[in-house]
Amino acid sequence: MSLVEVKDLVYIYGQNTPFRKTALDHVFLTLEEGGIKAIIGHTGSGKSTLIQHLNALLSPTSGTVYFEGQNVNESKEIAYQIRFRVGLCFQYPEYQLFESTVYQDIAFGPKNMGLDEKQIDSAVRKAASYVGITPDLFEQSPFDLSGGQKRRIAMAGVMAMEPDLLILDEPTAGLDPRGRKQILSFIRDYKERSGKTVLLVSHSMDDVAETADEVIVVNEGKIAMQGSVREVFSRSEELTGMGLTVPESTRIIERLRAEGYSLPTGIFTVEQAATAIRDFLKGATAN
Amino acid sequence: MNNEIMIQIQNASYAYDGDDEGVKSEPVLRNLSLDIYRGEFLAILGHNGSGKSTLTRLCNAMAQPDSGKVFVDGMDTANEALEYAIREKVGVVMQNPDNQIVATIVEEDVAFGPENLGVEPSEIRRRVDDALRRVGMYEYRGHEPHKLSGGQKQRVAIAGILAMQTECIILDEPTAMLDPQGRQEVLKTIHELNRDMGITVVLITHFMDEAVQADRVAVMDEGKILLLGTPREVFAHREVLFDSGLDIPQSAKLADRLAQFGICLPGSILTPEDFLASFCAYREGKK
Repeated sequence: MSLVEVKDLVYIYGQNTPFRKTALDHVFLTLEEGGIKAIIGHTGSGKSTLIQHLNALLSPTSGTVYFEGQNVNESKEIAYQIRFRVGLCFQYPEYQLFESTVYQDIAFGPKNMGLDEKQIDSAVRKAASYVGITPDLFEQSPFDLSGGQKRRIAMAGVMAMEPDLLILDEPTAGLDPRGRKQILSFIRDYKERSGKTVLLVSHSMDDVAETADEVIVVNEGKIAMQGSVREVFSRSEELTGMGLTVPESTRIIERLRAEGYSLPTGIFTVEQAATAIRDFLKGATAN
Repeated sequence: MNNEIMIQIQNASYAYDGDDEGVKSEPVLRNLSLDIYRGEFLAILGHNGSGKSTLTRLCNAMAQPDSGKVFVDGMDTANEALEYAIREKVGVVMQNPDNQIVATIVEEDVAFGPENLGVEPSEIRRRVDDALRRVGMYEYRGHEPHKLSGGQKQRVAIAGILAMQTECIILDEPTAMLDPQGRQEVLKTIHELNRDMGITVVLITHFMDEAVQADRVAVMDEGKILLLGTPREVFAHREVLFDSGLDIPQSAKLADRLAQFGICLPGSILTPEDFLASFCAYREGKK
């Protein structure tokens, strides 16, 4: 059974009003369990609408969303339970902190799940450790901490529910390069240690290249591509046509290919590009 | 770029009020001096919390330094009588496009500034039309701003500043929340304003590839200017940048990685174009 199965999903905003807009147009999507997946698409492509269907925050105009075979909108009770299994961490989650201590904030989700105090405590400690928040910060007010720490605490709040699918919407937006690297490494770590599936929504092609195993491209309310990072970034012309881009390393290799240098396609990180160029130069000397 | 100074910051220090009354927090700006030249495109880099946004506040008289002086086109920002004259000179665009739109129609939003300055209606009309054309948003003048994409909203915000006939625009991470296409639209617009109208642009950013396009780059850390110079000069200080939590452009990283393989491409490489030219020169040299 697949983790997520989206079948013929249609979502129309403002149905029966003059502002009627089709945000999702007969979407079919299957997500298998495990790994880090990334959704990319320009603003207004429908990606945010899509992820809000995965944990039943929105209910479809038509079509069905299944989570482990269960229709997430079957009843209110099921929709409520699904929100613990599909954790959604919104953009700029640091603005959603509200408790008086770091500990209380991270504990909010597990408390709502009805866990007992001991289970809550272990969930909080585990989640905090995923994002490098040490216990000495637990009794502080989250509002006294730096922006990067606040964001990590907000992420821990979702991780503490141990969702089978963790969705992170633009987790690195607005962060400086070090903060960005840190968050990405915490996400990779979380995936390794928890074994849970992660779905990343990102405008940063570099984040996607460095973190994801699989990429889903949303365009005009439809799934335009789904495949490995390598497959998707090989189609740079199509991506550009959709208002997206490819990593700078990919662009460099493409420019060199256009100049007639026979380098391979499907390159998307600095390391891959460096290795490919080195191998090309070796081959060139040998000839 | 000429040597006429648009904004002069002389030994400015600034600290926010602390939790206890009468006690200041750690200073965010420490004895900082910086001359911003008329007509230049200056990028400011620095990790989160390095004092970049505070510097912005000092430059358009939203805040006064605790010690030191800030002059805008020769006007002392400490002189309250000059507050409006200073804000007519220096406009600010913020990170979140939704926080700076005030009207329900695009052209009304752009007209808001000149209306407040008491400009004649016919002159407002002319300025609004001209400003919207400059940022490529004239066709959208009758639209509702909240229905625009992020990049379009930011361009409307820029038009609002142009309509006040501002000579200097400071943009505080204007592309942090935008998709790749929105980012490109905003960057193209501000470069055109700088080149075609001679408007001084100060761009605060976390994206190294945006800084590379500037005339000069200033790097802030601990409330001070750590590095200042052309992009080539600044990005040559790799270790200083890394230590400060920043990064270098991917093209530069790729060249560095190749150097570790013993492949030393000539010249300084910051962009894919640089890389291509350097690589071709390297190949020519080997023939």
